[in-house]
Amino acid sequence: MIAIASDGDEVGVLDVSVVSARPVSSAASRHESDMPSAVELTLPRARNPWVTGAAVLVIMLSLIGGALLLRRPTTNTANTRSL
Amino acid sequence: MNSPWLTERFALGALDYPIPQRANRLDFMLGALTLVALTLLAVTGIVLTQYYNPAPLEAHGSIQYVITAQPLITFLRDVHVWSASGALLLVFTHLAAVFWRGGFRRPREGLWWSGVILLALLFGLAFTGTVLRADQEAVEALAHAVAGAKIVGPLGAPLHPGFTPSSPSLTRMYGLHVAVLPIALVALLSLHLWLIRHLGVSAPGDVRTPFRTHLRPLAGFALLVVGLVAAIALMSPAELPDSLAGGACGHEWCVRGYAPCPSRHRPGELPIDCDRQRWR
Repeated sequence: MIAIASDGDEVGVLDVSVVSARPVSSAASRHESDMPSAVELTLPRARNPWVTGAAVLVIMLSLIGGALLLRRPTTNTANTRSL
Repeated sequence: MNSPWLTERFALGALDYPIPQRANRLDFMLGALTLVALTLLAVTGIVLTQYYNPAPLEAHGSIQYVITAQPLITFLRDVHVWSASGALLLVFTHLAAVFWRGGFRRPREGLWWSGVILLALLFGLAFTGTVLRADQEAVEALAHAVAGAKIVGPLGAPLHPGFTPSSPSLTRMYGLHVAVLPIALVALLSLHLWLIRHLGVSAPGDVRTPFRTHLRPLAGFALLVVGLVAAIALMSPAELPDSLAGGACGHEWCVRGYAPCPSRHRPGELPIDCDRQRWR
C-alpha cells in the first residue's frame, strides 16, 4: 500500500500480505461451537460386553415392565367413588 | 400389595386415602417422575463419589480414568449426566403443568414456592456438577458465576475464590454438590410432599379414587423413565471436554470477549492460576 499526499507526493509505503483467507468473525457470528469448551477429548472409552449386555437387559426389562404396567386400566371402578 | 399380612405389618392401609381420579394421568405424575430421576441421580452419584477426586489437580484425571478404565462406572456416569438432564426437563414440564392448572393459588402458595426453590436447588446442583468436571467448560461456568457473584455482593461471597483461602474453589463446589445442596433438596422435598399429602393436588372434578390405584401407572411411567435414561446413556455417552491444559488463560476465547478474560482480573479473583495453568 502506498500513501500519497494531496500534492501527489508519495509519503508512505506499507507492505501487506494475506496470510489467511478466513474472514475475521464478528460478534454477531460468534457461536458456541467456536468456544474451546466445545472441543471434546477423544478418549478410548472402556467397554465390557458383560456391562453392555447387563445395561441392555435392564433397559429392555424397564421398558417392557413399564409398558405392561400401563397396559391395564389405571383405575379400579370398584374402588372409585364419588364424594 | 393386597396381602392382609403386609397391609397389617407395614400400615399399607394408609395408602388408601382419596385422591382425584384425574391424578392418575401423566400430567399429574411429572413431579413424582422428577423424583424418580432424582433417585437415579442420588444412587449413581453415591457410586461416582468413590471414584471422583475433588483435588483440583486430580479431578479431571479421575474422570478420565473412569471413562477409559471402568466400563460399569462410566456407564453409571453417563446415566448420572442424562438423569440430570431428564430431571430438569421433567421439573420444567411439571412447573408449567402446575402453573397451567393454577396450582399456585390459595391455599397452595407454599406448595408452589417450595417447588420454585426446589428448581433453584436443581440449577445449583447442575451448575456445581458442571464445575466438578474441572475442564474448560467448568472454568467458563465458574468465571460467569464469579462475575455474577460480584454483582450480588455479600450473597455471592461463597462463590469467590478467596472466600476460604485454605480450600480451592473446586473442592468447595464438591462439598456443595454432594452435601449442602442435596441435604437442602431433601429437606425442602419433604416439605413439598407433606403439603401435597395434606393440601392435595389441584385437580378439578369430584370423582375420587384411593391413592393405591395411583401407584400402578406411576410405577409404569417410572420404569419407562429409567429405561429411556439408561438407553440414551448407552447410545450417547456423556463426553468430557478438554482440561485446562487447553488454556483458559490467554486463549482466543478470552481475547474475543466471550467472557471476562482471567488475565484482566486482579490476582486471586478467579479460580485459576494463569501462571501455572491450574485451579487455585
